[in-house]
Amino acid sequence: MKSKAAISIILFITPIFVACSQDVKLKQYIAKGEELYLANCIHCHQADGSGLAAVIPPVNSDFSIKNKAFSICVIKNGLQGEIEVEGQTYNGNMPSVAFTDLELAELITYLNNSWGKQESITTISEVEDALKNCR
Amino acid sequence: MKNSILIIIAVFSLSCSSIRKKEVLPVLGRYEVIEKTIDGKKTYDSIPHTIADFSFLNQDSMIVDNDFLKGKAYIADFFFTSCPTICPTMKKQLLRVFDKYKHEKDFAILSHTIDPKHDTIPLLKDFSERLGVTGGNWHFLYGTQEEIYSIGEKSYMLIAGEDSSAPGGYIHSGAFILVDDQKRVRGIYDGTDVDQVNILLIELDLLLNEIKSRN
Ligand code: HEC
Repeated sequence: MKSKAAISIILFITPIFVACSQDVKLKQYIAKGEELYLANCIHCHQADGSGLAAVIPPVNSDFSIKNKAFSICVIKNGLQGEIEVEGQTYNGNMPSVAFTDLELAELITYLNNSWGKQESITTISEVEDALKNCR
Repeated sequence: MKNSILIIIAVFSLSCSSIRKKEVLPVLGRYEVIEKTIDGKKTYDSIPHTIADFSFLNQDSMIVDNDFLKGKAYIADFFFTSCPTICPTMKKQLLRVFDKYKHEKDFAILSHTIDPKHDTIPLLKDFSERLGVTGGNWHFLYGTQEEIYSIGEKSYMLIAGEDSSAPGGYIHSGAFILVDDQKRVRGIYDGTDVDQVNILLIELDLLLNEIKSRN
């Protein structure tokens, strides 16, 4: 009887614990990602993620959710040439920065959970997979 | 009860008067003392620093010079189209100014590229169109490196007090310099700071009213 109660308590608590630590991890990624964004991206993409007219594309749209792998490659390798974001064509030059896989995960997690967006965490293994297929 | 209301009113009106805004913008920069001879007598006059004469081409290959700017106030800034640091933010803020004043005939924005090797006139044209600047009073100015540095260091940045010994150093100040119809500097604002640009928008109205009362 006692052990049954203990098991049911464990069964009940474990998911909460896992959910909580996921939540803490998500918050950590967002906080680290924000730091990286402020240091490396804000000049161009702006504090509100709106970019600059038809010169620099916005990062506050769900482009980086729908095209996550591509966006990870862009942040890692930079980008030149024409690209369409939210119906607008851009032809600029984004410089590359030697981010680690963890930093890339934090950055993309930040982008995809800011300015009203709510996606889940992007893991390091997702980043590794994306980087294998960069063009 | 009555007393406390009076106190509240008194405090309120005091605090209001202490945040009274400027009514006339100051003339900035060092004054120069010049010697004059009037009726055979030597007199001294102090005149404010003014922006030296210049002539540049804009994105439509039109000449922008002192003649063109007669009777106008303008904002000057320095940038280059491929700048990865503060320039996009400055342009974002200038767009706010442009959106409000693009039809104002007594006003212009002069954005000098400091990278004429890369920023040719066609490229400036393309850049201005991408910013959404067409048919307004925002001019993207092209000149030789020497011309730009000369006007930048001698006329504008002396006033901003920037260290101009480092080549291009002053450019990264991100300053918006407000000049009146008599080539005098009337305000300097940090073009990367939303709050400073809010102040600029208020003070520009003051200056435009001053110019209208003169004309
Ligand atoms: C020098 C300015 C500049 C900086 C700094 C910069 N970007 Fe970009 N970014 C661009 C431009 C320009 C493009 C579009 C490139 C093109 O037209 O080919 C772009 C494209 C992107 C895209 C893909 C398109 C989109 O809108 O989603 C993402 C994602 C992105 N940037 C994220 C970042 C992140 C994250 C950082 C900081 C680590 C960053 N950028 C730093 C200028 C910049």
